[in-house]
Amino acid sequence: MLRSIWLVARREYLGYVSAIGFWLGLILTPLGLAVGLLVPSLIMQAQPARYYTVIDSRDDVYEALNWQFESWQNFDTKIALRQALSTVTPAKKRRAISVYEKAFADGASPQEALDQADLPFPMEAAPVTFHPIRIKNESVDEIEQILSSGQTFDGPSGKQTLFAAIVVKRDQVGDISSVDYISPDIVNGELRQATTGALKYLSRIQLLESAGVTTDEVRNADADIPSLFVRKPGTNTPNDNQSNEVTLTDRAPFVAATSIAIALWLLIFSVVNFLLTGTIEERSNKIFDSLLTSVSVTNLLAGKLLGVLMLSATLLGAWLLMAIWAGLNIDSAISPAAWEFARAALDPALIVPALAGFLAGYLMYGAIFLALGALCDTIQEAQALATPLILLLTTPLFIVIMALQNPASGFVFTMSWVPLLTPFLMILRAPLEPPLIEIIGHLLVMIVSTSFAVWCSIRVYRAGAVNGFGMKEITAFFKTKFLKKAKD
Amino acid sequence: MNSPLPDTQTPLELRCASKFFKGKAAVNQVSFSAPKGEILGFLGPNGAGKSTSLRMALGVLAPDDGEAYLFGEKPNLKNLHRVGFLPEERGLYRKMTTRGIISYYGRLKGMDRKTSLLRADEMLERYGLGKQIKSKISDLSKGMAQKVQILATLVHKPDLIILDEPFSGLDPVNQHDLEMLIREEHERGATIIFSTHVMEHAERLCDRLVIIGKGEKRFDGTIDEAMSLIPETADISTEGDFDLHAALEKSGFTSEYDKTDENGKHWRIDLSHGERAQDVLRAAINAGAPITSFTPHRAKLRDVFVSLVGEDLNDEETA
Repeated sequence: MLRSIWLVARREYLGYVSAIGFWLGLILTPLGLAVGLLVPSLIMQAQPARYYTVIDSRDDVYEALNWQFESWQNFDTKIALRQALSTVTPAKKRRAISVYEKAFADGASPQEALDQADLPFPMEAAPVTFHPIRIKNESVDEIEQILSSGQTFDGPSGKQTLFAAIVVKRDQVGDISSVDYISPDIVNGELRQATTGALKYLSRIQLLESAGVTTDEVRNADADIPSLFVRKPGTNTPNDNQSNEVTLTDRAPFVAATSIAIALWLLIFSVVNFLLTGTIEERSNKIFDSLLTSVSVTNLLAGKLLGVLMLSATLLGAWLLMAIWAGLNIDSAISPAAWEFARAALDPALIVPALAGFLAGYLMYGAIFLALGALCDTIQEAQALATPLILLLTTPLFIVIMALQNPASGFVFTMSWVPLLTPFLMILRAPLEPPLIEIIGHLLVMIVSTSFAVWCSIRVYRAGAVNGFGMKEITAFFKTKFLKKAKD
Repeated sequence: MNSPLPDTQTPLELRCASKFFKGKAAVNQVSFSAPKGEILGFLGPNGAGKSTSLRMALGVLAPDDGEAYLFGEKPNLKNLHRVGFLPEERGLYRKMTTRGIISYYGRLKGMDRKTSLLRADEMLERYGLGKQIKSKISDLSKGMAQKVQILATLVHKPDLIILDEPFSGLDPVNQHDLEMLIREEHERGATIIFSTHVMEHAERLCDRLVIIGKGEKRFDGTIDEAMSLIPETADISTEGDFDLHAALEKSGFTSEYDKTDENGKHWRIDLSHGERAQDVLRAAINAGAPITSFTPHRAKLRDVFVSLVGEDLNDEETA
């Protein structure tokens, strides 16, 4: 019995592995994922430096806009600094951030503040893509002429055309009456947004100045906003506020669990498709009768499921090796974080439910797709039959995404008992360290529902493979059941 | 009354087997057996229930009534390993090589990898597919692919070979090759059952025939027994005005005058069951008939087939 299962599994495995589609999937999936992850930062990095000018009789809007861009640069730099410091001790992290913040508040630029923070690694401040250009004594008409003619100007990024001009109009007492934003680029809204922010800031400053608060005092107040450090409850003394701070190590299991749940869904739906198409090939090529005099239906199904499981293991193994290679070779500032996630993902408390979930999910969904394939002669038929099923089966992904922020919610807990969702939501809840009774309950749900799915699948498969039961009969069944009722 | 125990020496036996689809009997109370070493022709028109009977015999379909035995036991994977089955609806994994698929079927039947590969190579070489050893099934012609499937059926040297319509789809050369292959397997000691529409194949190959129509068995016996179902006829030509009709009437034979030409008079004699053409010839000679030619006509299997299931064929056409 085991021999025939192994022979079927081996044939299935070699059949898929020798197909070019498998290798394309093996290489393109992580490549696509990497591109997807890198695209936002690549877009950021590839953003060209842009020049703008402010046409105004005074300098306050110009300065407010500079301040606005510097604030944004400070904000982005601080996020990057926190991420970069995620693997150092909380005390070192806190010290470095404090030094940075103090330096910035004292008037240092983000890059100067970073240089003063005594970091264990070199770091650059977040880039600023908009640079002001001084153009004196030009009228609005002349500025518009410059913008449309493509005239270039010297600046921090060499010769560039003018991206936009901000024309400030004032009344007789010098108050701003309106501001025109003139640019040939109608898509990029970053400078528009910065201008709005700068005008709001200016308005606030002017109001506070009229109340006797100086501009420097306002800026210092902004820079003195204390940092928020997130901590978990622990045994630290009231004065020891550096321990129990929530670090990447604490968050890693949740991120890893979510990643595993999504990866599990993707993997299951990538490989069960092989089962569907493989079974359709057997049915359409009339292979069943030859096979069924050599191997039982149960062994045939078991062999096919095992073969595709081996395929999944190969995919996972290859992707894991690629991830390790990438982890060892990508930028040193990112790799400690990657290792932190990897360590969390390989924690037995997570990996055991993940493996159990994968096995149950794969068997359950695999059996369903096998049965489906046995009823169809063509991919088109399978698509017609599978569409409502696929819609149903995408539910787990939506639930997983919805559960990202709050895996402990009652809704997620309730949904985790729905057999189709259990394999995914069980993994998502694993970092919460659920009670033993819940773990046992989930395992039982998976065992019972998977067994039931396989049992049904064997029967449907037999009906399709042996008796030729197919779309025609299904259509007739639904017509008899529902159209007759509708007529009645 | 208890039915007798199945004979372990009999490769295949169906006992009163019935199968119903949507309430209609596809096979109704069919019984037959294939004794060891025999070539059994399983004949019947389209939809007669041949494939259903064979699938029941192999345990692919469970009979709704009656029993099927292989080597004295209900069909199971153990005794099915002794069977080679070529189904009517044929197909192979299109992406596998000819060598790979023959070896795969061999291993499913219990052969080890090395032996199955050696045997696949040997069979492909021997039956004219040596150049296609590494070809994929999708690259072969339909006839070649069918040949590969036949080889895959025989790779493990089965004791019982069941071929469902093996000649359909093959050109005359390949049909001849297949006949040769069947004879070789028979000489090896295998029991062979095949269904066919081509009576000539059955006539040339079979020891015994089972004919079914509308799911019921119509005939089970040797070729000679089948032939004897339709009486023989004979044509005799005589010189001059000799009255053969009167001469043979005295011996109990009925003859009919056909025509007269430059060769003399021509007579047609219809024989009854059990009467043979040489008996007529002897009676004519004894009566002093000036015979110029004598042509006996033995019934053909096609005539037997039509006489047994001809109505089914008509019904099928009407339907």
